[in-house]
Amino acid sequence: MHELSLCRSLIDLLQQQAAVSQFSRVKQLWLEAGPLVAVEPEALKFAFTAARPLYLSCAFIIEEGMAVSQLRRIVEAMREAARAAGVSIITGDTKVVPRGKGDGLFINTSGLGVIPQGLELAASRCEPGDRVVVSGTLGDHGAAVLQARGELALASNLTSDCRSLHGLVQHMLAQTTEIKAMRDATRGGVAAILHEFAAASGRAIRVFEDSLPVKPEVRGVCEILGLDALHFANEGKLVAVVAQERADALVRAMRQHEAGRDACIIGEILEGPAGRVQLRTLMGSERLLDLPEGELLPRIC
Amino acid sequence: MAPLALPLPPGFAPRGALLALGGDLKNTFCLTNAQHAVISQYQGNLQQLAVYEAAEQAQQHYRRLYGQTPVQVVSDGHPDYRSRRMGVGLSVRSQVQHHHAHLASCLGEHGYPLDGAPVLGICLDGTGYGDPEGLWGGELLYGGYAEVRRLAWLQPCALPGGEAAIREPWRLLVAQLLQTGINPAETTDIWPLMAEKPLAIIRQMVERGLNAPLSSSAGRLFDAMAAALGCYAEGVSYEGQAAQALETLAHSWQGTDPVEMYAFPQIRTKQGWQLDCRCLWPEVMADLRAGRAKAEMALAFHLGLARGGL
Repeated sequence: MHELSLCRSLIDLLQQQAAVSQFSRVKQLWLEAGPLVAVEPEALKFAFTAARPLYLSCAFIIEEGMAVSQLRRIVEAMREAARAAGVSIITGDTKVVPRGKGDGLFINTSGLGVIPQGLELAASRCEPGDRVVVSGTLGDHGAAVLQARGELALASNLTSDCRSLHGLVQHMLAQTTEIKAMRDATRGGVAAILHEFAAASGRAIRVFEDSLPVKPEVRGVCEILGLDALHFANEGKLVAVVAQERADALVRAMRQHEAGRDACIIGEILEGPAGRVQLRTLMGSERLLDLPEGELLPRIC
Repeated sequence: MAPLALPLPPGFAPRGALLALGGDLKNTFCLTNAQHAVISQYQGNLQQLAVYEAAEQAQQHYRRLYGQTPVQVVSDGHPDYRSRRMGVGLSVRSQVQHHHAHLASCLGEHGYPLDGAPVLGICLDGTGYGDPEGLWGGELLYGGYAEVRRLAWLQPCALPGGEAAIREPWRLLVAQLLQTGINPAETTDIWPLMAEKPLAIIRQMVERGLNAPLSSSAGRLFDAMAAALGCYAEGVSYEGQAAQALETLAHSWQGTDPVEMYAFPQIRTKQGWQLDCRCLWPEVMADLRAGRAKAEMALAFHLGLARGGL
């Protein structure tokens, strides 16, 4: 289907032009294609929609007795979120489990999209000197969940950072081609992503304690609980590795996007040893940042 | 003086060299050969990168120096100890429980023979990973080098905030009070600092087990008592600081009359005996309200615990 290759060439041209003319978004594109090009307009339109997330499948495991009104509210919220993200929920599965065996509702999703040509994001591409960037404050979701579950009588208003990131991702990819790797931080927090990147790239990563963006309310929760925001869950943050010379410009661009207002550089890729993640503390010393095996157990003898 | 070459006690005939990786915060490692256990110099806190790298290099250096290639590696059972990730490349790995290791090292230091009669060991420390799990620190163990049985221990109490509780002794006092059924919010007349602490959250952490693991640690009990007597209740800058202040306070008691000790009764459980720590707190509070000298109270605590333990 030559419309697809035409589309890819158009995107390349646009990206080159974007770098030169310093624009980050294309709102409308007029294309004159003569009859001998034999382009099917519908096929060309489809090709452009392929350069982003497309489809979602969705499996529900529902506990018998769950209120239909509650289920309806959740499904309607999902529909709205999918519509806003331009994603179609196209298939799914439903199971009902006996009362007491399901904890209300479990929703499992799988997504499908298309990677534009020329884009190769992989942790293995990380090189010493590259900068590690985070799109915003750490641990908002983990702290908010603790409050929402009634686990803690926390006075402050903690809100989850739950949001779609693909708008920010497109914005970032339009800014520079020097992004080596990108991943969203969920369970296990930003610390888990750092370990994944370090292991996959065979490099070490250093993060700077004084650069970690944490909301005061979240910091307060961490202090009381004795936990680290680096390990708290997020639901609307990503970690990216970018070439050193592009890092500042990328962060500036991210801050212009609503999903990246608090973006900043938090660390750098080191030569080695492979898989190590370390933290430069506020005092200037280097500490190993390990992932706990299970429950956090004190080591102090 | 290190490296310290300790002669292996009678009865030990190891097959091949062994590398014992040591603890995490005050690390030393040990390389054994046929006759000796060579103990390294103090390494330090392995979570500090510089220390970790120096310890790795030291291990390599010892292997070259003593011409020993260990065939087996032994580590502590704590899942998060950094020391466990050392000794890469050595495939035969085993673990020893923290307090069993303390008991065995005491025996080894005194050349106790391998086939000697079982001993009773009182193992008191800050924190050590238990067997099969849990946090121990105030244990009465019965056995020897090969194995031990846990006969008795201090009544476990929560550490709200995990390591934060170790750094801020007031948390341990709150946990002890909650366990005793005393509301910390009603103790501001003797402990004014309670008024500005997030007591409700600490209570929830303890009740729900949210980063508030239980520990039978003697060290933590000392810290709680230290906090009660105003010794570094807000925070310590090194492990043991609060307990050392408590000891100094106890030593400063000049009275000549016998000191009335605090009581630590025993509770029988299915697995063994526990030393009940709850009786301590109403007495401490009554004494503080009555104006009993803190130095005397500190001494009463030390003596009472010793009597309870023995």
